[in-house]
Amino acid sequence: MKHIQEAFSLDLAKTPLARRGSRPVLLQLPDGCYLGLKPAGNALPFAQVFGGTSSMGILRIQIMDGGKELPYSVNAGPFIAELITGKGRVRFAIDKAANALRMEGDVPQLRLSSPLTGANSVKYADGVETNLGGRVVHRILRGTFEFDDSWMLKRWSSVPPCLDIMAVDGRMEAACIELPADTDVPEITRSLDECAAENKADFEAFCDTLKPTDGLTAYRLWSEARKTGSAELACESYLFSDPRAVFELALASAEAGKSGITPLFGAVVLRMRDEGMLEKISEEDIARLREALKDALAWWRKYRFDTARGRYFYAYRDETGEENPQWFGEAPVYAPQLQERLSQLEAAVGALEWGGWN
Amino acid sequence: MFGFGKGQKFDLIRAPYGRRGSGFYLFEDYYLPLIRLSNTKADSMMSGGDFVFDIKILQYERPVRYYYFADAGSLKMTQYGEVGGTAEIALTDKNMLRIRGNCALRIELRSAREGGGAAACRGVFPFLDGSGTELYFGKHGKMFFKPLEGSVSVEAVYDRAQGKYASCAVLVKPDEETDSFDIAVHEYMSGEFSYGGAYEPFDKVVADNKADFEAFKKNYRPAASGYEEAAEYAMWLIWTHRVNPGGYIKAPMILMHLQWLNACCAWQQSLHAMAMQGNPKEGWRQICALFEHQDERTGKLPGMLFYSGAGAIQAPFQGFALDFLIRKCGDGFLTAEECKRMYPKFAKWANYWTTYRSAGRGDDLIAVNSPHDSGWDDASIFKDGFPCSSPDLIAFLVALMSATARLARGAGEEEAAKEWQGRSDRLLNTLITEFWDGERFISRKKGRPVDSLSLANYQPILLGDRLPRHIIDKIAEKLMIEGELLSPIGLCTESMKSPLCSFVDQFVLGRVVAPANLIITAGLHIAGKTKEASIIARRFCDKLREEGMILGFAPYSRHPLTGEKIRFNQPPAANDPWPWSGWAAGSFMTMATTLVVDE
Repeated sequence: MKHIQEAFSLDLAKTPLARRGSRPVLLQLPDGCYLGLKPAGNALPFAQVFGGTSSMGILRIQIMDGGKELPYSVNAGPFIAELITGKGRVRFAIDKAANALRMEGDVPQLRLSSPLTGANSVKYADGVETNLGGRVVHRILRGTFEFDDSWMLKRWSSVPPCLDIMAVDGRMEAACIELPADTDVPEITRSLDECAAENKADFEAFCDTLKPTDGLTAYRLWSEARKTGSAELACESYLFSDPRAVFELALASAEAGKSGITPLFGAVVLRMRDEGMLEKISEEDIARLREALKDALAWWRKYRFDTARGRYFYAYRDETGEENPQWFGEAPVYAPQLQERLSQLEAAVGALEWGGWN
Repeated sequence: MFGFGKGQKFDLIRAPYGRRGSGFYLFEDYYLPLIRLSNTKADSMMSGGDFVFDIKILQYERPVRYYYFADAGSLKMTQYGEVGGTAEIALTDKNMLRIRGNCALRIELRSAREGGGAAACRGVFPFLDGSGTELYFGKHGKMFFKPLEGSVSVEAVYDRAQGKYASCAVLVKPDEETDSFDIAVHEYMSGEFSYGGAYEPFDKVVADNKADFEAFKKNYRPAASGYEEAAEYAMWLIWTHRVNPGGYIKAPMILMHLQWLNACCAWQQSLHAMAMQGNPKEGWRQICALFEHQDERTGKLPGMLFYSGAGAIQAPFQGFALDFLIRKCGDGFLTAEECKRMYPKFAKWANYWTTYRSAGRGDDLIAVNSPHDSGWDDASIFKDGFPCSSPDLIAFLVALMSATARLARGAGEEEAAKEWQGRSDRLLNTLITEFWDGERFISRKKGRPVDSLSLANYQPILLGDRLPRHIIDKIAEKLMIEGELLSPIGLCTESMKSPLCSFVDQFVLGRVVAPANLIITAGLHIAGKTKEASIIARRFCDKLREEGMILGFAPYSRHPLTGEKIRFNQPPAANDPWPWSGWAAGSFMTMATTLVVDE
């Protein structure tokens, strides 16, 4: 992790405990810490009938003793977070292999609950399955548990989920595993500390692909849900120095931006050429990138080029990549920055076609 | 004369106006005397969608009141008074509608959401070549307005501070010399405008629509005496709900609704197939349509398909539907080639249930964790929770396995056929020995019987004469007791003696619902109880004939146990009792053409 020198902590209200490639997160909302799930793409209509929710926080986490909630303080690092009470603490980490939020501690009781309905829950011998925001199997690895999976017939839902995990011999441990329908629950093979160590190693490898930056910025890039918008992907590429990482983002940006969005990825490819990155990319991958750029250029030339004026134009505000551009009038809009972006795109296509970096 | 609007039995307040293969549909506003336009691919209007337009006829630039008449060919709006301005809309199956008229027309965007206004509009772009104007609606797609005669202009005001359009309207004006207009309105959910076809004369479009509907009607046998007109409406509704492949949908299927739950639901496709006895090959195609979406790994069929994606699962209706179709039409449509094509897919689907919905006993008994898997979303058979083994699903699986055996035999796979039939027989034996309590079938939660008075307990009658005679007789006897499950308008989904019975806000917890009545009566029919089937089917068909193709009804206005007056939902509402439904129409067609016996 040569570029990240300082240690850093997380404010879970702003930066959840998470990692790339896994959906479960630990985050903090105004009323406490939550098991959450990163968004998983656009919801289908009527998703709420099957437990869909727009909130990232799924189950609220409480520490209990004798039926009373204990106040806790939060101590969160990038790979392990702790909730600390006067009666013990609970530690959390993301388990990449199981796609799970792991938790273990010495508190008397841990409660995961939600007031929301709209989905079914099922109790098993060794845990519980909830379906709010996604299918999550909560396996109790150490301790006992209570859960009411009664069905509310007229509400088309199980009762609001409330999972209580009680410590046995002073210890409790659980894994909240997110998985698709019709897949087997994976075995838990690693300890919480092993999971945290793996995440740390992966993060450090990730940081090696970045330009020098602070730890928190690097962590957010590494842990957040993958961006999908062409403009976002292109902008993010400037944070990276590794040719492969930049290429992946440039390609994703180009494929997401083949039509209807200002082509910021042209400039990204020119940067790759100017900084000698293209030499590190295989011919096959260059070909993929070239085709994506050519598709985008073809779209602009066919649908957004005024042959009478010899200029490109915007038809809609959404094509600018800006939220509410105040400079946008009635279509067609001939914006100077668009001419520049298309010049860059044309130059990028040329660069990839002629192999000028060799 | 069949039609909607002035002088007709039905209007377009509850029934939507559509056309086979058209995403566009129209309906009459509940509060205002206006026809409104939307697109079933884009939104669920009744759930508060933004993509809805008012169609206004103008005289001297002011909106005037009009009446309308609609049939399969077109929807014609006529201004009251001596001016008599008209505008006529003809839908097509080419992602386009046509409008002609002799007055000015204003097509104004107005969200179904209170205060939603023109929120759907994301921009206006007049093409540089002057051929027309494109409007962009974000996730709702685009529309291109092309004047063929007359002119089109767009009035759209963008609120820079708010960052959205305050208003958006398309103004259509007649040609000054001819006093008429003719425009095409194209819709596309993605990509760019690319229509390169011809614009046929308007009258031909209208004639083609009528001819297409007439051809579609050939899929059905004639209805029993007295139900001919209702059958016309039912067939028309199914025809309007038939979508072409597009977006996520890979084969022509039938939507549940145009303006509300605009999904192709899995078990409804097979239910529609049962009625297509005029063309069983088409019925077979309907049954097979879902398999275009079969998951390669698990064999799963998605339960609901929208233009934008798919999810969930629904009961394996396919075996029951195929059995019924063969009983009524023979198996000539099951060629060896078809059997070879579909046997592996049916097998995979059946194995999906025994693998991923296994009750964990080591045999083929299944159990579900959600009532949505069965389709009986709020039935009392699930009141004790999950996992639950329910007789309706077990019966469907018995039928599916038997159908798989039939296909295996047709494919020349005799050993496989024997194995599948053996599995079907064993599961049927399990159903009879473990899930029949002498009076009715029951559900079991983790082995414990569920005490329920649901109609779903009798659904295994769908196995017809595969059930023992004493069970058939008992089921028929129970279903014909007035005031329990049987009401004046058909079978209630929960016994009226049950404290859980509810006639509002629920789906199958008391209301008399089309598919439940269809399944039960079809089962009674193939069990040999044709008289009982006819009596029940006739009652329900009479109700649909009177009210239109509505999914379900309360049989009484007071609760049968308490006498309490029922507080019905305020219309209009995005729920089963309000809009016409393809599901109801499909159920009606089987009942009216096959189960109702002329007296």
